[in-house]
Amino acid sequence: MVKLKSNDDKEFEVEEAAVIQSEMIKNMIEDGCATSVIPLPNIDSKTLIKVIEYLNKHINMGKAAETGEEDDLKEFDEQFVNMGWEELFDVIMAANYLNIHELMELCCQSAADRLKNKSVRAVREMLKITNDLTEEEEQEIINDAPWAFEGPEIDDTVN
Amino acid sequence: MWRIIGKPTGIYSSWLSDMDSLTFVHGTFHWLGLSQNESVTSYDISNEVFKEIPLPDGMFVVPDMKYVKHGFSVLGEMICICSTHRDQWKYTFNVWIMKDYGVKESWNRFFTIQSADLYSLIPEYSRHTVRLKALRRRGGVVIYVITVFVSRCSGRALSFLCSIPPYQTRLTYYRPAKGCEGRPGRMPGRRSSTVGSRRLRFGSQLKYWGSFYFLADIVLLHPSSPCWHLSCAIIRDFRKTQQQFAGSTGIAYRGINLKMTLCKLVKWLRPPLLLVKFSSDGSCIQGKRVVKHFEEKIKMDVDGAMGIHFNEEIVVDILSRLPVRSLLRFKCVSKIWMALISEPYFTMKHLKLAKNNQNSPKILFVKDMFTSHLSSLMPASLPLAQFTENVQKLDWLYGRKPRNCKIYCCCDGLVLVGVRKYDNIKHLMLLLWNPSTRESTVLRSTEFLPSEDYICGLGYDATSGDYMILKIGYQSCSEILALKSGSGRTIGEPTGIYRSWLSDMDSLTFIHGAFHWLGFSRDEFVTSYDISNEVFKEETISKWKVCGSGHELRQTWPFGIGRDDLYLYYSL
Repeated sequence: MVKLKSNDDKEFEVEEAAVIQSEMIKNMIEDGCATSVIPLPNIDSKTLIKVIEYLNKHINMGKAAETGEEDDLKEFDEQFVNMGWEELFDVIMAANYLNIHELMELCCQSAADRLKNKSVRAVREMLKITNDLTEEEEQEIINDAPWAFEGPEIDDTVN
Repeated sequence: MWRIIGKPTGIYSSWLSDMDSLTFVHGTFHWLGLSQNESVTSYDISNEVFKEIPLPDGMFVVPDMKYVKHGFSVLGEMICICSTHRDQWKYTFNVWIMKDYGVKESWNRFFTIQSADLYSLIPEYSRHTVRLKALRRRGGVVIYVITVFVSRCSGRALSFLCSIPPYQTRLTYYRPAKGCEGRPGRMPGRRSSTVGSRRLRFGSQLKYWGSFYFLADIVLLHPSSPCWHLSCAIIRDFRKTQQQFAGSTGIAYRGINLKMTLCKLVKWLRPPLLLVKFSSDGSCIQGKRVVKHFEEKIKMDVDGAMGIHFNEEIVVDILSRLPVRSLLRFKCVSKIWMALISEPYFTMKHLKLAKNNQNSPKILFVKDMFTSHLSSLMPASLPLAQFTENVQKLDWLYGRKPRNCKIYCCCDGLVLVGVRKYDNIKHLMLLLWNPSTRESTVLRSTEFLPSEDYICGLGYDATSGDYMILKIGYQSCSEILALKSGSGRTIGEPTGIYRSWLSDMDSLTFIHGAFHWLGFSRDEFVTSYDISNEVFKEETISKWKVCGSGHELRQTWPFGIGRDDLYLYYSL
């Protein structure tokens, strides 16, 4: 078992087999730096619980194919990324910090899928980005490729 | 004028005679001295004073070592000392480095080599490299090249330690660990790394914003093996506009030539973020470097209370999964997004990802005479009904309807098109077209006579990182055009030009860095032109293996490109 500590000082025990999916922790264990608690100053406990949930589910990734649990895993992944933007980004940041490739892939793809057909206004609102372009600059970009801004599939809703 | 400047301290003749010269760094000459204690003695030329810099504790306390030799030098502006101790059988070579000049605590044992089989190690220093020439007891030479790239952000060298495995280990290939490949990242705490039998690891992610970029690597020459073992390192200085290698090791790895390898590495590095405005005629009117963004992570949030913080790296990761159409739209989101999406590094990343993505192949087809459409091509066999869904109609290239339009070939989503307009029927314009962004450029007209027939092909040269267009005229002349640099030139007479065969081909076939066509001189040949090495080659067809039918082929007659091989359709 490996102990992880979130930035709000909560400790979590995780099986080594699960936690070594994180490249960073794997390296630490190999180098013998993980004898006591591993502090994770960038991750809060809420996010860490999510990440651990993922790690525990994906513990036997290789075996899943043999036992026919692939669909099960797929379903889990779909459910897993079904969360709000803020939560999703917290998980992405954590996955990036811990260097968990699969999780990073899953979450970034989910974020990309959500953004894909959104209008510019919707993206700004969803990600809380203020528009710092002037009107002329914006018009210039639109004029360069007007076809990218029109079409029936472009979704202006925020969700 | 020579003048006397007083008596230096710590003069110990046998150590001084081991040094080639006094080492000069930080405005001060240095040598290894011995007074009450061993120390580095220095003479500051601006203030004209002698000083002593203490050595690390335990550096010279090596009991039972019979033979000690010292070297003194500079690596990346840090003073460094190497010592070689030889016991009867055991041999130890240490390199110490002082990360913060003048601070005793910052001495750091940089690496250690221990071996019973070597009898001499001769270090040679250059700015960022230590080359260790090791003579073996039983003949032969091993050369270790240790390239040190030092990050100077906030005036400190970031620490990394590496040790070299015993040379007896048959090393196949070292490469930098994931995270050293030049993407922005954090240093997760202090981590010294050890060398495994196969893989070299450094701090799992090295910081690179700051003025220097650093990677560290080891090149090994193994005496019993003819090939060089390579891992290469590159340094880049963000303060300079031009990309440059302040130090890179000049080693070739098997068949791949050095330039090629370096280019591969270049792709790991991202160019400085540039905010550039383009005017409508395509010329750059405003360039502004925003290197500052590298010094701190770009925080995308504006509304701190909501707290969506994430850095540029993650934004790039997400954006690179989006289709081109969304990206063109999202340029409008904010200045940072625009800058990120416009970056050449991003384009490269997007292309790389798209190439590996099964869902991204697109098909370009011409419907109702000349209207072009672009559709997503689902993998493998495609029912026709699906084919017509999700089709984007494309505008005419170059304004209005041309008299005729020929699609020659595609490479990385770029299409080489020939267009004849109504007002100038004789003149065939060559255009390079990106159907995804719907941008096109008219290629520079060349020295070919307008009436002359030619065949052309489009390929990507990994060596120069540029797309190349080769035109072969039927009258034995040829010309190559580099797209980015815009330079065109004639490249001598191609061999085996046989007009009727060439005119049967749609375009020159490009694979393995060379253009190919079917030629005929004394015999039937496949003639090729290698764009990196700029040579023509011929291969007789009779040498080719006959493969069964039913291979998955693409590209045009008479050639097909299978997964990695060039096939020739050949009817008997």
